[in-house]
Amino acid sequence: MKQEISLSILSGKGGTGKTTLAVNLALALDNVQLLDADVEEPNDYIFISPEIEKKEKESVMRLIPEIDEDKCTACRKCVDFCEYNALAMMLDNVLVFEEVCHSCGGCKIVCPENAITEKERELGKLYHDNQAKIDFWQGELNTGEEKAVPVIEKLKTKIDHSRKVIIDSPPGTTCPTIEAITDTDFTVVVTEPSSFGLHDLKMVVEMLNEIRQPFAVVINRAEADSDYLIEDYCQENEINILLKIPFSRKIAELYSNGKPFLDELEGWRAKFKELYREIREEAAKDERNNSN
Amino acid sequence: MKEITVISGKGGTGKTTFTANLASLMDNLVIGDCDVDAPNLHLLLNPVNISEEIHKGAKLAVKNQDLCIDCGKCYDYCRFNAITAADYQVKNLKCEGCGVCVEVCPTDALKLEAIETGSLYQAESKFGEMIHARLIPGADTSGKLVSEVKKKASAVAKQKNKDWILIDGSPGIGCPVIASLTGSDMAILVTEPTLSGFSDLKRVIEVVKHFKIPAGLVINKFDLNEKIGDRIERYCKEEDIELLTKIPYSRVIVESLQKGELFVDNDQDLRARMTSVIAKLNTKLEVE
Amino acid sequence: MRIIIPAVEAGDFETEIHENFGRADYFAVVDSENDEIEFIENNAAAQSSGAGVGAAQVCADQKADVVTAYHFGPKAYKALTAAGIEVLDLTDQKLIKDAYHDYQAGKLAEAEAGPGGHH
Repeated sequence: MKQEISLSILSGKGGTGKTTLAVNLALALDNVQLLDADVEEPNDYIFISPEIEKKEKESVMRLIPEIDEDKCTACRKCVDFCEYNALAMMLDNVLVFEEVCHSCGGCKIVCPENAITEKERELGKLYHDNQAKIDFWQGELNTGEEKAVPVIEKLKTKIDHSRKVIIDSPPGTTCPTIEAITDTDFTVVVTEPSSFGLHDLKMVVEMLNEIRQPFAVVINRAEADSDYLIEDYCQENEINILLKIPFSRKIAELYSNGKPFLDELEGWRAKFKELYREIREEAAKDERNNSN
Repeated sequence: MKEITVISGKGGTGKTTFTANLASLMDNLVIGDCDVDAPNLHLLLNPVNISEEIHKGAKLAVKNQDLCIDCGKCYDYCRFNAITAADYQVKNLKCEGCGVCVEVCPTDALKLEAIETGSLYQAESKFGEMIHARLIPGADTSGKLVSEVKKKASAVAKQKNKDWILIDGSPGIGCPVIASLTGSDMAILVTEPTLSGFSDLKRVIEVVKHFKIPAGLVINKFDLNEKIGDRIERYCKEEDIELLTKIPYSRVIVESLQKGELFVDNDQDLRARMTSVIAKLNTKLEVE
Repeated sequence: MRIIIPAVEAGDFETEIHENFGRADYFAVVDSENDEIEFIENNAAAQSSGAGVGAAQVCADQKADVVTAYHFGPKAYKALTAAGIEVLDLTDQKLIKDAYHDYQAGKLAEAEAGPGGHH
């Protein structure tokens, strides 16, 4: 059994409390790496590294076609091949629409005149702030770009398995989310006790079961009156609830100002440490089950 | 007939709850839920579906194993890691339907097929016809399904001579949001007074401005942080975005939501705030 | 001149203008030399993405001189102008005939490039 594990944090939709859990958990631990893979709207930096724009960054590139007009005979094979309408033939010139190009390389292959080569275009960036206690990475998709997956793939190459790894995933059940949580030892699903929360939790559970990812639940904005909505469902489906973060105005106010709450509310630093221990245990159990 | 789209940039600001409560106070309305990734509006409006259309929004490579000679060219050329190394099978979750493997396969063992990625529903709710949709988990959001929701909502509104189309828009700033906003007469931006909310709001305002769609602002949970709330209000004023209303961080809203109820039915003050929004919409859009 | 206007169905001059360009089901093609109208299907409308570019390709392939719609995304605009097509904005016209009359009267303004950067 590995000493340190990697865990991903997920929710059915934005605003449920992923960031709250990710940053507070990361701050409670030692020797930790936090990767914000919510590349369309990364928010962890507000709490961990507000000056992230000034820190070291690297580009994530992708390839897009470049047409050599001297060689091009306007045969339209590339335009007809492209499934995404990233190419158009106007007045015998091939226009390239870089934002919708999926970088599949197909146009280059079908061109009978070898008139297509490829050039790099920046898809997104990775930011890095190696702090005393947290090694923080942020992935960001450039505005106008749509393909989050390659940025997340590049972000994952930065994972340092000698540390406790936390990945803050994009919300939902689409490909970027699946990319972020795949290869992590365990996933924590954040939900809230309402009909919206339950509906989105079911959606996420369906996806997690399909990709066979071990997981457990954390209830955010928990309340005595309504937790049953989530608890009943989890019990029926044998899903563990590892922690409940209460509905608290104080927590919400701190969040609104970009402040974590683990040291402002008594006992919470210890609770988050304990949460990690439980996750590690759950992950180990799952590993043992799988090898049987 | 006027179309209003409610958007937020950041998720979880209360956009859907707001839209549902607004809908309940409007007359002669068609409702569209364009949040096709994680649709929640139906949880408050309880529509009864009258028809379902299967949506085929993507293509996947499909292999005819009989024709495969295991040359591995598909694996060599695929840029999305969508072909397994061991036995050259297509990994559906990774496949982007680009057609490269189809092109390079020497025996035509692969082809692209349209696949079901979700469903579009026409329904009836207490407050008017409702068009909503659902994406299959793993399927990627496309502006196309969002466009289809809007198209159907428009068609029903014209057919039944409705005054309003109210759209619950997609979160974020990408293609689905743009599809939600296309052709709208007005955008309502629902935000929360937090640093993350403000940062996402600025990005969504850029999208709205480029469409030259008039916009109004709603600050939800405003008393959570009045300082940031004021900053947001001032920022929007400079962008010619009128404040429509502020909604307090309220137990009534939380409890109503938990019971699947509308908060306008449970609190007179909240009801008045929402009615004032409708009055402002009428003025701004000059509806009789 | 060949003028293209997005249409909700394959009808006639009394047909309603479609609110989209890229996802319009049909295009009305009017020949201003003889005021004749024909309708063609816009097969770009059915595609998952890039409908604007696909629709622009349809217009270019139809040898359009002028294309008019309520608004154009930046890619559609770029494609149409690259084809040397005049891109004009509609405002509150409702039917094909209204758009055509306003075009002939010189009332349609040149379109500007749509939202940049967001696609």
